[in-house]
Amino acid sequence: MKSPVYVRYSLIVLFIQLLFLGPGLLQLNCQAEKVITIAEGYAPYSLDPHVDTNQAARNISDSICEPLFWYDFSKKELVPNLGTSVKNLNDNTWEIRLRKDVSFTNGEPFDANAVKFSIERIKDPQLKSRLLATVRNIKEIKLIDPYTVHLITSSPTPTLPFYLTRVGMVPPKYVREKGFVEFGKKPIGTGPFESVRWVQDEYAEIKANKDYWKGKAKVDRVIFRSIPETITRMAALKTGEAHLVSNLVIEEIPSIKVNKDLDVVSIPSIRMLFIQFNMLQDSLLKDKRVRQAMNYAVDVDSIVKNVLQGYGVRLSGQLISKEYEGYNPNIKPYPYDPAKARSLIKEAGAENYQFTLNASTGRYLRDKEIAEVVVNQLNAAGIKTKLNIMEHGALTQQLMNKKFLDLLLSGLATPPPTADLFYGVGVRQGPFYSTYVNREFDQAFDEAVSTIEKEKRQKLLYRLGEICRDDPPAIFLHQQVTIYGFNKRLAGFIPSPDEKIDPYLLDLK
Amino acid sequence: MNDLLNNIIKNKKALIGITIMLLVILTALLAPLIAPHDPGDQDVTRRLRPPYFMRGSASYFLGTDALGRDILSRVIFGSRISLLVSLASVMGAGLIGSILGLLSGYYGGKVDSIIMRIVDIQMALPYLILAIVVMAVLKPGLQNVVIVLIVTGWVRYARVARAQTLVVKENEFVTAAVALGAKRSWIVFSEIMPNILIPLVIIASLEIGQMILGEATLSFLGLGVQPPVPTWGGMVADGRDYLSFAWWVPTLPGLAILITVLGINFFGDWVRDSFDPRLRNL
Amino acid sequence: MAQACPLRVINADMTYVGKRLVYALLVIFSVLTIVFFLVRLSGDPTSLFVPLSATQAEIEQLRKEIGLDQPVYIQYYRFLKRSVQGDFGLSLRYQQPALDLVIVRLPATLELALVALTFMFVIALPLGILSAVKRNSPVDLFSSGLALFGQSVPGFWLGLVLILIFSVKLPLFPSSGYKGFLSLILPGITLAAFSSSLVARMTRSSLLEVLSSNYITTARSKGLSEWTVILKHSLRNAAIPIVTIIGLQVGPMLSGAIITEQVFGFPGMGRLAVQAVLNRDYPVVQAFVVVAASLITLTNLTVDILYYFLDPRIRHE
Repeated sequence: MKSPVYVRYSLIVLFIQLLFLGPGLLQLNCQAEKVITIAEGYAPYSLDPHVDTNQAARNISDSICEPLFWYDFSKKELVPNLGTSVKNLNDNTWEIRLRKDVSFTNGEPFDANAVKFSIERIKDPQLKSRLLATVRNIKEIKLIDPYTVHLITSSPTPTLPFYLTRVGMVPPKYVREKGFVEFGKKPIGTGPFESVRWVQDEYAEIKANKDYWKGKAKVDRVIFRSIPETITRMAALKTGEAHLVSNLVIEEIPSIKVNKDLDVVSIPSIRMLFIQFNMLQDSLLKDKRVRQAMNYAVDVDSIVKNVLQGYGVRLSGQLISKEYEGYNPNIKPYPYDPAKARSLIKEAGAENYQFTLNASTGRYLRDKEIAEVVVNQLNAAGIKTKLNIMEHGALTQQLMNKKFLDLLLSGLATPPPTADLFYGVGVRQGPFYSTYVNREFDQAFDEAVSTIEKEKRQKLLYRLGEICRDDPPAIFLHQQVTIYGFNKRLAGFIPSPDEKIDPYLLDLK
Repeated sequence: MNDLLNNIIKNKKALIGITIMLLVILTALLAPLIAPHDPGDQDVTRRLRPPYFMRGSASYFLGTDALGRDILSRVIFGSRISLLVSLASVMGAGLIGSILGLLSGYYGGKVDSIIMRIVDIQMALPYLILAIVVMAVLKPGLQNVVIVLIVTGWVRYARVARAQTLVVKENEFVTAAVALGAKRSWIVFSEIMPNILIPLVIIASLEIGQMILGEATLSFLGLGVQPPVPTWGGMVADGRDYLSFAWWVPTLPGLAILITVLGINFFGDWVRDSFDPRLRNL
Repeated sequence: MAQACPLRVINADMTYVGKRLVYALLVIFSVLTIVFFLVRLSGDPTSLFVPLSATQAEIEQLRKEIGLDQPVYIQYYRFLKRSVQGDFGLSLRYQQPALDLVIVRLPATLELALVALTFMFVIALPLGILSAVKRNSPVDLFSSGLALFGQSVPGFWLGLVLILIFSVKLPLFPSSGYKGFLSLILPGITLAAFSSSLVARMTRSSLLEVLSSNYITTARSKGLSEWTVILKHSLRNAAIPIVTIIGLQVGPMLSGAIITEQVFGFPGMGRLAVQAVLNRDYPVVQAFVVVAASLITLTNLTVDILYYFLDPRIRHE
């Protein structure tokens, strides 16, 4: 008698399964190769260094397309890379000398042409590049000789060299041929690694560039995986599937440290978390006392200690941390004083006003939990607040359109960490994120950013911090701390405040 | 009535099912009286405490969540919202779906084509995508969760209602009523409706659990009810990062879902078994 | 006369299939239309895809590029014109053809679904049959309990638990990603959980109904062995509702895949789709909807055709 239909069905299905077994068996790589796997939560949408500027995407694209200079966080100074020196010839002219005898992996030479092309392409509206802010002051690029360029700015921009640390160098001919979409799928650069494969939403694989001008990397391949779910990402570390993982479950840290094969390292990042006030709307937030009251009402120390288990650094009454140039060490944070908050609210007549705190979930570490705690604390201090959790797209829209109601939990990082970039993007009235209205601040800011003389500049930048302390643009929360879990076989990993992971330094024991 | 009670007691499954359901309903009704703590009472210094049976304190019997709130109290109050959401969406979807299915089956012709076409079109779209798109249009919140669940759920009732109507339509009672010259609308409501009710009620009872899980899925995607409203699904979703470290935070509310769904399923099975004459004598 | 009959039957078959095909296409088209208008209600995506410093002029320029500056009905007309040629526009986020993005991820989701379907056939179906045959036995109680469990727990919770137990605690399977057969098992089981439970329970109740029918009592009285009765006679009769249920699972599986792929970091269509909706990436949402609707209607069509050949009653309608 004929075998039942479903048995036949199962056999067909199982046969198809065996076809997939093949690739699995081929995964037994030759052991001579050193392959490192890094797992992060974000999945890049382009590997073009000028398009997707999220640091997790940059970790990949920066290893392929290097910038002219790097920023050394510990020494707070510029490190030459493809650019060997930078000199300020006059207020608006910068001379950059380039490294000789370097080529892109497709054979094109790295020279002044490549620099001009790379910088100018950021302004291409097709790219919609988020690096625009860093190069918009560059009016003109003069090619003096194949290894010297002059950057002419439209107004004095003392931090220009620092901005250049964000601009990767790309091969002009190749980019022109392929177009930016193809280039974004398989970029080519001068860097220590070359692109091998990119499976969107899953992983990007890069291999060592054996002709790299600094010398070949110690590892042969690096695989950057994107695993959005926190537990799953942590599982990859525990099972040995990943050697380095960013952002673990904080409470699991002790158990990971106890594991003899694993370890944890953390570093305060340049991402600042704060609750932005929308002063562009007609609301009681225009009253300074209300905004100060909110700062008194929130117990940030408790949030950092309990919700983040100490993995956070409280902001000291200003929006930037000490990693930022222009940080004012003399400013003290708002003390936790709910009674004072209550009296300020009474003074301002805001006892019956219902505020709304908008927040997303999963965008920043423990954002939803922090938002819930803040709402609770505000209410406890007599400031009626309700929580509105929005999904990612809606929140971004409201932020970009500056239409969010009252308060918004925000996280901002502006590498390279300079006060003028951060304040320029986040605080000073303008097209970027700012919803702050303060004429005095804007004027002081404009003065500070065009002052080149160091001491005067510092004083002006300090003044900006003082203005914000008194007339807050936000509820100052904390500086995020990035937590990495890694396998002890991994050597050379140095965490960086800008969340950068540099595979060139890594080795596998 | 006596027979009914006897029937229930003899059938263990039914007994368990009804007991659970009564328990859940009572919990929801009496929540403020039986919950040991305020479900919104945060205290971040007592986060993630283990439940009593894991050497935790008795005052936080099921432990505390990521913001220090008592899980037992939140589960108790969560029953209110979870029941509210699931009952409202089941009733909404059930009503809309059943009526449309009934009309479709009874009147046939153009009405039938249009309604069934809409059903086919909606069923060609994975329900979760429809739910997410609608959620992106409306914003996350209790009301909109119910709306989304109704919008995605009504089709399941429509199909069944229509099929059953087609069967009942040929029934003697109906043809007799038609012969007697009864008005169509009267026929629909007094003859057909009661007779298609049973399979629909069975589906509805199964769907209650699915609605609770649907709310959990939406919360997982960040599209659920707004905090601080406690829902079982939301608690599982919110607590999932702590699964390896403090498993009770997402799992105990999940257990509440499981027990409730179990109870409803046992009840639903019993209803079906009792009303299906063919199975009675097995 | 005897020669004309087969031809007429074949013609009838073809007409049936043809009619169903046309209807399927109409359905896909309608789904696309509805989603087209629905996503546009969820807000203007332009602000999500411009650099911060964009001026009003630049924003308008982008809207023009995407085609959002036109009134909706013109956008719709353009969209229809292009989509029949297979052009669903460029993804706003990836700047790559939207349809390509979806198609590239289709195999992964299909493999996942295949593993889940295998699970359904190889485990759920037999368990359902066994439960019906050995009603109220320990096997029945166990599998019914398991099925109930599978239908009562959130998928994401189950997935995470499976990872923690069968990948971290017991190093049996990869915890995430899509490399090799083993990486399909845990997500496959997670995806299968709900549908398999449903199938198992439906199989059980459907088979129970048939087993208690007169037809079967007759077969038994004829002295046929119990298993012959079950496999040959009952199953064929119970096949229709079972096939219906399995066919109906494609839609829920695509929904389930969304969650499973998120939990397991699996590069499938589901993950792409949900991100596209949340990122207001209209072209990708539209492309996904077309592919998903096609899959579902194709499955329904296949099921209908199967019915046609399984159930003689339909043929003579």
